[in-house]
Amino acid sequence: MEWVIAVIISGLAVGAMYAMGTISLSMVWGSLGMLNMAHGALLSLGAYACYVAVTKFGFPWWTGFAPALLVGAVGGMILYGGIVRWIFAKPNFAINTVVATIAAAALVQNLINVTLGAEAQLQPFSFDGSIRFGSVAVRIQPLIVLLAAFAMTLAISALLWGTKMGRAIRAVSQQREAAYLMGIPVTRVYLQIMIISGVVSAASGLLLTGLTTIYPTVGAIPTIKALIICTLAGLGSLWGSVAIALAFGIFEVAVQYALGSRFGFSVTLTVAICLLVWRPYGLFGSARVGRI
Amino acid sequence: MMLKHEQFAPLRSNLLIALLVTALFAGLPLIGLSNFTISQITLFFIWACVVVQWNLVFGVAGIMTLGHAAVFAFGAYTTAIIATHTPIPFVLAFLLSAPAGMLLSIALGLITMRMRGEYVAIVTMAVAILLYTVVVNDVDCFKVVDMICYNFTGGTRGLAGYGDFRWVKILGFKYRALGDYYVALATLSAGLVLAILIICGPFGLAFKAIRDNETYARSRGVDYRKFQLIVFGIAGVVTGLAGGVYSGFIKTVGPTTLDTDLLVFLLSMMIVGGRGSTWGPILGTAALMLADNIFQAYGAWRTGGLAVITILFIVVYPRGLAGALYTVYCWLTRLLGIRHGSVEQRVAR
Repeated sequence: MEWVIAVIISGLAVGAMYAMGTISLSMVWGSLGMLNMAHGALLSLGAYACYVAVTKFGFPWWTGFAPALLVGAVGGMILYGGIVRWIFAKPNFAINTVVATIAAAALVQNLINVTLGAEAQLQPFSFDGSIRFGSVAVRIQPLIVLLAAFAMTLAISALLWGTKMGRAIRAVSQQREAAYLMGIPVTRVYLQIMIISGVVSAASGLLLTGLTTIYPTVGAIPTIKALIICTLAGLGSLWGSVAIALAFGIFEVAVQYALGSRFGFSVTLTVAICLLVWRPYGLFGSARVGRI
Repeated sequence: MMLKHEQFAPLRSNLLIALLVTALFAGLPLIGLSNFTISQITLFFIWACVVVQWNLVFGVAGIMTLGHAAVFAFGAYTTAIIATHTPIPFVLAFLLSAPAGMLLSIALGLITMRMRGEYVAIVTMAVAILLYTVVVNDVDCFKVVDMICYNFTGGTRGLAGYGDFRWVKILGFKYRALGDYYVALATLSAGLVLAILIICGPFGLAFKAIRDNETYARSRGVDYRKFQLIVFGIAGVVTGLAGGVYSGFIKTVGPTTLDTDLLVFLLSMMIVGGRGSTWGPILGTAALMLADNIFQAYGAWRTGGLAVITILFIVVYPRGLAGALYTVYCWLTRLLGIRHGSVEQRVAR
């Protein structure tokens, strides 16, 4: 039984990483119905902002989160001002956002590659050490990631369901034209969501890279997994995606343990695709019928 | 009945243009191009072929698949793997890339059958990533020759030295580049004619109906499942074949064919040309290959440059080059006082 506990604990650590990478994507998709393929770019931007501030400008390591969040907010703003603002409320919004944000991700990756180099770097903003629970030792960093993932999901839920701003966001996501006619400043709501998403993504990237290293495509794999997790959970189901992320992590570690580490991702991905063929709108989602 | 006549008129003129373009490219080597130019044009044919078929699914049918580059890679890998590991001659291995492409494409069509919109984009991308992961993690020896281990898919290094069309033997050293040129041109032309038949025929109308308002189209009896599988199948055959041509032309196939860089490259061709238009993919491919040759000097910025162009087109001019050309055409005909289209059509516009 020892290995079961080991698999669950390291699975939860991996799952915490996935949950962390999913929050912002799930929020934007759920509230604006917009699939942000540049999510990974925002993750890398946050991670690199901290790295540059600490190693190049000599910030103390624990202050590194501030530039990361700032850059995330600016990134969200640029994404809104450069892309979203011009294509929303126009025909083919879904297809245009997917294409434009894929391009934006490629652009950011290229920028980082050219300016900072493609080599892997260590994230200075991380926590060492471990805590013992009985016979098993748990590293602090994944524990912090897990707690932060819960805290951030809780905060976003509170924002969406408990504040005036959240009410405006939900109104816009349900019926944009009606919300506009009721006097809700639709463009400002979009901007707010993009900025929040940028900050959350940057924080996710910062905490995620504490577990790995930083490299230009560091956001790519978490994004792929986040996309799959979001889809499995169903459109914009915040808590559903946290649950799926943890299950995904445990399953992947179990597969790695049973079959060897290189099969972890491919088997998990295959299972996820099969689940989606069975439930095309996710495990917690439902189909939306278009209006005539 | 009047409408029926009108809707088949563009079919004839488009086929005529396709014939003219093919004839033009077939005669182009006669003016004596360098081998480099010929190989660049060959590459243009291959990419144009892929983008035309992708546009058929993505633009015309409006199914947001991102797995199309993987279909291309699957065709290329099929040819390379068969030619490497079996005694089957290369030409036969090349032809097998077509059913292979169709297989993967129809599988994508079946997987996404009940999904819509962004869900399709995510799941098709997941399939592409799955293929990439399988190839990159392939470290088992499939066969061992002289103590050297050969992987089934070639792993991260890819496959090479599996042979080619042997144009040097058939056409002689001087004209060897022309063999690939004409094979690629033939594939492109065949794919183009198929695409035009679909866009201008009754299929095209069904796709348009599904794309514009699926609920309404379904309530009027358009069976989207049948059409989805047919379009995935046709696009898969031609794209797989383009992959086969690529493996014979480049002579090596690696995981770069499954890379996001290639995806972005092909996607920007479609967007710049004009998504959903008949001639957009060809125009876009030509424009971006020209731009790419100019950007070559700034190698590090290649993908970034393409990304900026794509975003600009999406934001500023989503109709793309084909749309621009159409506007110029309308403007010219109006200037010259030529009537085009029936009264109904002009009213509809």
